[in-house]
Amino acid sequence: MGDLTLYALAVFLTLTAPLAVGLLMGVDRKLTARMQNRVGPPLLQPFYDLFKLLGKERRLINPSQAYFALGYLLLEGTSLVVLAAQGDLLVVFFLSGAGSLFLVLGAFSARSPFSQMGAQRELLQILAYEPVFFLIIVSIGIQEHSFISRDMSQNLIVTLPLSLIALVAVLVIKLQKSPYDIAHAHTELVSGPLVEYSGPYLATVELARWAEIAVVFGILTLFWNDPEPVAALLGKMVLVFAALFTTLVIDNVTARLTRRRMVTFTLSFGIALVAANIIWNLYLGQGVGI
Amino acid sequence: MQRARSKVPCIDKLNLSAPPLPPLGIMELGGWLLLSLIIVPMIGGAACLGLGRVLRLKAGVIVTSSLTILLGLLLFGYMTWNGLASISMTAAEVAPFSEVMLVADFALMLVFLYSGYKERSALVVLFALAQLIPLTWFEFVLSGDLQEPVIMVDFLGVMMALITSIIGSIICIYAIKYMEHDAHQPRFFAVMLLFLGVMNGAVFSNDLLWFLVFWETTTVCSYLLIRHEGTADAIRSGLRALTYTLGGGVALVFAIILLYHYSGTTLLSQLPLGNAISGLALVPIGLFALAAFTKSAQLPFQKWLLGAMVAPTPVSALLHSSTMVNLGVYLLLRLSPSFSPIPELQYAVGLVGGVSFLATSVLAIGQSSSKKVLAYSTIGNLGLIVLCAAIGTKEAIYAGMLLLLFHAISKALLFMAVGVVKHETGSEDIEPMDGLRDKMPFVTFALFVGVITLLLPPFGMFASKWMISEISANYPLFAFLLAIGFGASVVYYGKWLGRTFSAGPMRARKSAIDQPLSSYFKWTLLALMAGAVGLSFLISQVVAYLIVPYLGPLHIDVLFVSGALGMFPMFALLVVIVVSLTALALLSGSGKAEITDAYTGGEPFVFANSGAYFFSEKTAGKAIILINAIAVLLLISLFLFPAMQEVGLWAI
Repeated sequence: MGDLTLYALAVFLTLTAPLAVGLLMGVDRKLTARMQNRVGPPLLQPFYDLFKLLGKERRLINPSQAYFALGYLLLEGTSLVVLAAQGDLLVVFFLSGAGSLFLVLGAFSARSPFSQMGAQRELLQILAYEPVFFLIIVSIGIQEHSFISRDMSQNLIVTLPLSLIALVAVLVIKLQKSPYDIAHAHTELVSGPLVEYSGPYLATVELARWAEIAVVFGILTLFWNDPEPVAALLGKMVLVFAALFTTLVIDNVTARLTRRRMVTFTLSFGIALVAANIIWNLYLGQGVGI
Repeated sequence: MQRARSKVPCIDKLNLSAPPLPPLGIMELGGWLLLSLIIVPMIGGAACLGLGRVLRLKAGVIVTSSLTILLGLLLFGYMTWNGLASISMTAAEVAPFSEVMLVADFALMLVFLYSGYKERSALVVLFALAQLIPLTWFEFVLSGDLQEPVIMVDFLGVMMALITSIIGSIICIYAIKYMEHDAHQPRFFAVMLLFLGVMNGAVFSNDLLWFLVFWETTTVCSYLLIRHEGTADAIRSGLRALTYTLGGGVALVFAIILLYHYSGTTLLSQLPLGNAISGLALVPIGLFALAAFTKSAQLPFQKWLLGAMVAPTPVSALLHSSTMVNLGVYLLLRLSPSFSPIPELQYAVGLVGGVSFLATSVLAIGQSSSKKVLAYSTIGNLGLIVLCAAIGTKEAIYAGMLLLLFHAISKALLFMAVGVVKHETGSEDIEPMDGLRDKMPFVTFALFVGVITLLLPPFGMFASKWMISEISANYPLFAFLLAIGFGASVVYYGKWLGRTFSAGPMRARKSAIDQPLSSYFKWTLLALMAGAVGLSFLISQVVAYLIVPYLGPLHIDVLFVSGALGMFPMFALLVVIVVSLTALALLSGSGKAEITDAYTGGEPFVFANSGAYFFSEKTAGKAIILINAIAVLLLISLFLFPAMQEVGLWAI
């Protein structure tokens, strides 16, 4: 592929990935509804919502909310750019983490009980998933001897199966699914950190969240590589849908964990999974795997 | 005057058998700059003692600080301009000072003895004697070589001197306002300025006996500054700091003597390489590391630095960013080739740093005092530098130096911002900072800049965190310590920063700021903000002019986000973020948005903020006992492995 093609591909991926996530959200709602014997909203409902929000009047408690929302979107967007440009996964990770800090600051900046409680809980979630996410990326780096996503050549699904399982746990938290919907907790916290956002600002935050989730899905796709482009693409898509479906099933069969248990459970099991995988690959299972 | 013009400076390859040197009188500019960087702050400090009247004292501090900044920049400029990798001065050249140093050494010991006696601390007396007696004996045994480079500065030293001279001086200027109602200002500023000179002296010393004198003087300075306010708490904390760091001094004395015994040198530049020594010859290296841990407040010695928070905020800023704690990690960076090739020592030292980072990051979540949070964060970041020194590859030292530099700037900024809050509101706790941005928008912005430059891409600290993460792929054990630490630091800084930004509906906001910020506060904060952000922009220049002259070029240029699109410079990211934020903010015109009230389900409410601390003091206390035990085991292993190797029980 020439440089120009790569440029075009990076721009294309950055712009379409969040939209694809929006579509996946639609699939998510539809499938969840079916699991609960409902008809569910149309597939494109997340986009209808987004456009409707964009057209609404602007209401804020104070302007810094808006700045932090924009910061959130930009940092998640930049993270996605680096990933789409097949850059360094650690940079992707740190940029995306910076984005979630901005979401928290935005929620804190409104003096509102629900919003601030949501912010504290969002921080707890960060504490729960960031270490696991970081270690998953380190395990990829160890396995591939590089953190540059362009260099990924193995089928990590075979060599890092436990990291993949840990990544699904991260995905469940980022998608705010049960048992991890601590911050949004729609029954009592309304929508946690987002409660004081409305109209176009809510749309901004929502779009940023799509980008944030796109980053996780993007890293997920790195677990499948194939020299044949069509086979690679198909494999990656299967991986994405399989992961989404798994989170849906988990969402529907589990109840929310308490905050403390979320942190200890995710950290202990997530880290143990990745650790087991790294130890196996480095010390025990030499010669095993592809 | 000796010059090493080698392109890649390597301390053990310096030409040590140079022709006879000119006497002091016709010393070259470089030598004068070194000496004046040590002496000018000291003279300024001594003068402060005499300048009783406030106005003259102010002028004295400002003049001395500005001169020190200027001299630091001149040294850097002189070495860069002339392409010098290092400057050194032999014992013959600085002969007039040797006697001074000897006297100072014994005077210091007497000061320690007296302090220990006066404060009724048997431990301090014991530690002082444990230094005095071996040192007296050693001075007789040691035969000095006049051609030895007693003073030597390379670019690691220059970087340290720049940090001390510039950031330290800015803190002194800041302190003029902060301490304006203090009863003992002359004494305070005398010690502050003395501290800068002593710190420069320590990083310029190549002879370990000189290094020891300066090292111990920093102990005295910190002791005097911590107990400055004279309250029972201050005196107790001061004594604790003295005990801990004096204990480290004992380790340093024995390290020097044993180093001379096993390797026949007292020069930092001739430290033996780790793969050239074995068995008990490794013991002095372990003792150096132990001394460094006490100075940098690594586990299990963290307690003295946390207690030091009772001191006035400028003191905290000085101890945490530009002096004192930096000296320990500086020593470890110098020492790295001596222990990093030996896996047992490498892991023992690295784990002390890594566990310090992990433990302090988690403990900081449970702290409600902003100064305590910052103290924990300092110990954690120094732990990262210790980890870098332990890994010891070129990339790791690179990361460690960057971390040291950018941490110093951002941490000084944060302490000074907290100091302003304390000065104006009387509190340094996090919860009362709720809505600080209404009351003190400028200070809140300074806090914001401090935190984001410390935490987030694309600022300087991030570059080194990124490098450490990248290196950790080769050391998976360390990666696990980093992972939780990174996550936890986002949490504790997020909570605090969020609190300061919390604000109610804009129309109900108090628009009045009680009084305009003192220009001392404003300009010093501004200078550090500009430094933190500006040097992040100029990170490639920082690397090219400060780090490459010390370490040589790095084969992978990790300061660039490499991707299929070619090289994507870090600062381009910064520009993109800043420009688009501004553009979007202008376009969206948030000012025109309608101001609304917080949603409460229609109920009237009174907002009472409360922080989430996740665990109790009691849980933290238990955890501290556990991690201290781990750290003690690691320290023991530093000496156990060499001893076992000596008697043939362990093959390193």
